[in-house]
Amino acid sequence: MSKDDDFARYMTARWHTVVRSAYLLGCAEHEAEDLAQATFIRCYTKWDRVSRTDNRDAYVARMLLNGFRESRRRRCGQERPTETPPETGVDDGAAAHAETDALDRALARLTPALREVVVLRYYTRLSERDTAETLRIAPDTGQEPTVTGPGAAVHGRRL
Amino acid sequence: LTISPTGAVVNDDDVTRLLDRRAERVPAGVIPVDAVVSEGRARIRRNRFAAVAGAALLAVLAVAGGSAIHQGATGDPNSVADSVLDAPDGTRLAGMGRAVVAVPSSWSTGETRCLKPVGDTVYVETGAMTDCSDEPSARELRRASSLAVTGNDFNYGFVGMAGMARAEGVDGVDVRESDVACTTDGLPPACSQEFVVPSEQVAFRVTVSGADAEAGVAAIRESLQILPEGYTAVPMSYGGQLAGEAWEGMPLEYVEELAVAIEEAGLRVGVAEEYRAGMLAGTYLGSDPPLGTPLELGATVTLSVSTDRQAQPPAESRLTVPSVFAHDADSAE
Repeated sequence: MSKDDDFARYMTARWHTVVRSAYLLGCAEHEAEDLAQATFIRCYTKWDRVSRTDNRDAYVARMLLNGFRESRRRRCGQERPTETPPETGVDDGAAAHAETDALDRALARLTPALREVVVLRYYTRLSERDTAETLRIAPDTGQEPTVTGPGAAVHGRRL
Repeated sequence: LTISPTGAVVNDDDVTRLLDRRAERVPAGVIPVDAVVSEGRARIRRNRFAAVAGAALLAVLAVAGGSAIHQGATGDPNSVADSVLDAPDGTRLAGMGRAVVAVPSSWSTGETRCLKPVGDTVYVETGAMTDCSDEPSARELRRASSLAVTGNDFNYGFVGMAGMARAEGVDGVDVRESDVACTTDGLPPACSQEFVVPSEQVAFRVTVSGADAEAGVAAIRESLQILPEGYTAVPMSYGGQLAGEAWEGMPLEYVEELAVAIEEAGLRVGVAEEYRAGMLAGTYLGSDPPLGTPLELGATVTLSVSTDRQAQPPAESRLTVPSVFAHDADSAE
C-alpha cells in the first residue's frame, strides 16, 4: 500500500473523531473542522514517523492538542464556552437537548487541563498511559486528578 | 454530581457514552483527504527546499540538471503525484500551464519594478507598457537572474519564433530554442536563452547573471518538462490570460481577478488574512504556493491579503505541569 493510500485510509477512519475531539476540547464547530484539517496536514508531513509509532491515535491526539492550544490563544479560545454559561433551561422537555446543555455546561466548568483529560481519555479513548503521555502529566499518582477517570477528574466535584 | 439532567451519578462508561452522544451532534463535514494530501505535499516540498536554501545556486542546478525532475525525492514508486511535482533539492518548479522548469528555490516570484526583474525571480511578461518613473538601471537589471514566462496570447511576447531552431522534444512535445546569448560589455556577465513549447503556448526566457551564467542557463533549460494531464501551474497573471502580472501591494479588485484566473485554471482559491498596519484591507500580500508553481488540479492556492482587523493579543499561557494541574483541580472544588 502506498504512503498516500495508507494515510487516506487512516484519515478517513479518524476524521470524525478528531473533529469532534476538537469540538469537545472547546473549539466552535467550524473551527473544529479547520483544526482537524490542520492536524491531518501535519500528520501527512510526518507520516513516515506517525505510521511507525505503536499508537497512531495517541500521536495524532498530541498533534491535535498542540494545534488546539495554539489556536486557543487566537481563535478557539475566544469562543470557548464561559466558566458559567447562562442557564438555557430545558427545551420543551427534550431530554436530548437537556443532556447536551448539561454536558456543555459540565465541560465548560472544567479547568482546561481537566477538560483535556476528559476528552482524550473518555472520548478519544486513549489509554491512561497514552493520555498521560499526550498531556505530559504523570499517570495516577493518587494525589492529583489524573487520568484514572472521572473518579478523579470528574467524579467528586460538582460539574 | 449533576452531569446528567436527572442528577444521576455517572461512572467512566457513562462519561464516554455522554461524550459520544454529544459528539454525534457535531457535524464533521466531508472528509477532505485530497485537500490535506495536496497541502501536505506542498509543505514537504517547502520544508525540503528550506533545508537547502543556502546551497549554491548554480552548483545545485548544474548537478541536478533536468534528469532528476521525474524522480520523487521520497523514492516511493507508487507515489505518482509526488514524483511529478518534485524538483531537485534546492530548486522549485515554476512555469505556465503544463510547461515548467526548475529554478533555484531561493528565487522569488514577481520581484519586478517597472515590470522588469530587479532580483533573482520568476515573473510573467505580459507585454504591458508602463509609464514608470523609477526604471531600474542597466547594472541593476544585469545583476538579476530571472525566469520570464509568457503565453501565446501575446504572440510569445519577447520571443521571435522565426529565428528559433527546433530542439530535442521534451515529454513528446516539440520545443524550439534560441542560441544562448552572453554579454561581455563591461557590466556583470549574464547569459540568456529563450525557448518555446508551441503545443502548450508557453515561452520562457531564462537569464542568469554571474560567472557561471552559461551553465546556469543550460541547467534551467534542460529542466524543462511537460506535466501530465491533471496538473497546471498556478497562473501568474490576472484579467485574462496575460492582462497583467500580479504584484505584492495590488488592490483588492486585482486580487479578485487573480482568484478568477486561478479558478479558471482548475484550482481552488483560499484566502488568508494578515494584519499590516497602514495597509488597505484587501491588498495582495502573496500566495501560497507562489504563483507559477505547478499543482494537481483541484488543489488550493491561498492568497494572502491584508485585513484591517488587528489580531487579538495572545492569551496568557496556561501551565499544564502536574503541580499546577493539581492546583487547578483543588480550586475547582
